[in-house]
Amino acid sequence: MAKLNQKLKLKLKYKDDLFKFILSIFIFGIILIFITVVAIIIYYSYPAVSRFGIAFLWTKEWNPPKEIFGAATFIAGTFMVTIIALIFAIPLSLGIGIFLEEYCPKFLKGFFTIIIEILAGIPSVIFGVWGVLTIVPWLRRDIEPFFEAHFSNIPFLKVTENIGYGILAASIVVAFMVVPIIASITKDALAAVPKITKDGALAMGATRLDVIKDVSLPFSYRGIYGGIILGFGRAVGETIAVVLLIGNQAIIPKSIFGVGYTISAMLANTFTFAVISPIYASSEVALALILLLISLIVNIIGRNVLQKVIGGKLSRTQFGGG
Amino acid sequence: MTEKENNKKTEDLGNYFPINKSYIKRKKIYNRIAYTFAALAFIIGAFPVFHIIYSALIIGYKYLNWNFISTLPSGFPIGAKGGILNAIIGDLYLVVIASCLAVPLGIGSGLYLSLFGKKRTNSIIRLLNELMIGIPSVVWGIMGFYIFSTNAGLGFHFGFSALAAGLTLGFIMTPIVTLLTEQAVNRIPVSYIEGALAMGATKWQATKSVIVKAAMGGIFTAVLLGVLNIIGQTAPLLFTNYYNTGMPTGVTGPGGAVGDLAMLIFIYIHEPSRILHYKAEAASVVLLFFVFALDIGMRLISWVTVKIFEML
Repeated sequence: MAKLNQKLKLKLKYKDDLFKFILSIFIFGIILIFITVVAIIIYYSYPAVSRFGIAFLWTKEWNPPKEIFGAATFIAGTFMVTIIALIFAIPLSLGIGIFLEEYCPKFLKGFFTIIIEILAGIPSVIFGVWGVLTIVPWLRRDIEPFFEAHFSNIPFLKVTENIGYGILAASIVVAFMVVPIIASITKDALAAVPKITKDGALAMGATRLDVIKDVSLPFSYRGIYGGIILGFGRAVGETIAVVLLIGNQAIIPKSIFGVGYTISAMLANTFTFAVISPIYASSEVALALILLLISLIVNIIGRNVLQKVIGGKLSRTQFGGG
Repeated sequence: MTEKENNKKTEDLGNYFPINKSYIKRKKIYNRIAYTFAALAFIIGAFPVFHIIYSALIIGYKYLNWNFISTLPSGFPIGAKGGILNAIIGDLYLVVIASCLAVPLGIGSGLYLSLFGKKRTNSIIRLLNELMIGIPSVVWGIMGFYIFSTNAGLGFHFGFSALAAGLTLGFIMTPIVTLLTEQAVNRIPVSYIEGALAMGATKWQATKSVIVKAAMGGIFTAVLLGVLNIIGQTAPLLFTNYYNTGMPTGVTGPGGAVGDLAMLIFIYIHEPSRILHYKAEAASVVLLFFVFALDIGMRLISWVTVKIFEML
């Protein structure tokens, strides 16, 4: 009996080993993809990095004919768009997360969550078109004249050209693109609060607001930080919607209504012209290196924060769009 | 305990729990205000979903007919007449090529991560995988350009073509499929897998006869979510494929470029022509239709599998 099975056992073991071997080839593919993207970006940005050094980060001039390249303008634009977008998105998504987890009637919760997930799935080019045909006319017609009339003395709110395009238009649209990320992570973090502690507070006569303020938020604030960090990472890399809305002029904006340029918009607009000159192309790849490093650092931090709260399980709103 | 002491205690308690009606009323009003603000936040957040669909439909509806979907763009500027057939066919090319790379790679890696490997190596691979999900799509595009598209230096020299763009999109799709496949396999009750292994099945037999069947719904969801993600990508196509107003004649080299819905919308909205803006909105309706169809399909599959698990 045992002898008879020996052959079969060997065959099975052989098959099992083959299976494992094939799967490890696949896993090697994953590692290879990661190494490829990092290596390509580092390899092709090396000429620019070695020529301009760290001063690349704060040189303002970007002059292809003279071969002087500096990223300061684009870094400033990127961070302005990202930070203003987060200023809009954080209160909004905290409100959404709290509403969905604490206040929303049970029978509507599933449906409302799906709406927020659909927002995450809308492609970024459609957000861009929506911004061009809806947000920009609205800013031009209603918002900018109002600010011009009442707030023209405040430095960051000065309206120089009443055209609608600019940092604010891009920020509003990017804000809606990061809202689902932060909102869904906030919701998951609030859902991870033990129900018994909430019920205890409610039984003591606390209102829902007291429960949120004194029980839920202190328990889940780390998760919310993690969500905000991941949202930051997404907003920094946002490309197509920003290209359509920011105005694409290489100046450091002095006001939120001004036009500007972000790193990703610059790459999308000029990279394919740049490849004729090696140092120009290399400078563009150095811009991509900045984006890559920001995204890697931000995601490592955000992942570590979230690991402790919701077990590092990314919800499906992390992907989608583009 | 004397009566005096007892009275004092009650007073202290009264200080700790000031039970008066106006206090309770105030608390309730604050709670109402918080409720209102949270609901308002949700309404503002949900507004773009409806307004995007509404504004795309209201502008694009007069172009939406069978002709729009089944003819190639023509006229001047190109696209003023005709439809978007090139983009739909092109999207099909891209999705098929990307899936050929990402589906085996992603499912295989996801299975490996949940079945084999040491804990430490797996956590490193998981980290790399999740980092790749966070990499911006322009960076992928530049990588795709230097590996697949460029005609000088190292690389495959595919030119601006469907193969270059499809493989770049495949790179974007792979980590998503991997992550979700692993989650799907981890969701299977441990007793299923352990039961199979306890009966003497090897891991290959357990995978073949138990895991793949039990995780089928989850794996389908993973693939559909990957496709949903790449169908809206525009930035990588700028560097690897650009756009073609006609039909591709191959998948590499000159004539290998394909149209793409997202690229078409992006190019049309750049043109200073009202009719092209309207057509961009009509094409957005078509793209949104694909996105929502995938989304609903995905939800149905995962809903059905959950129901089946509940029945078992």
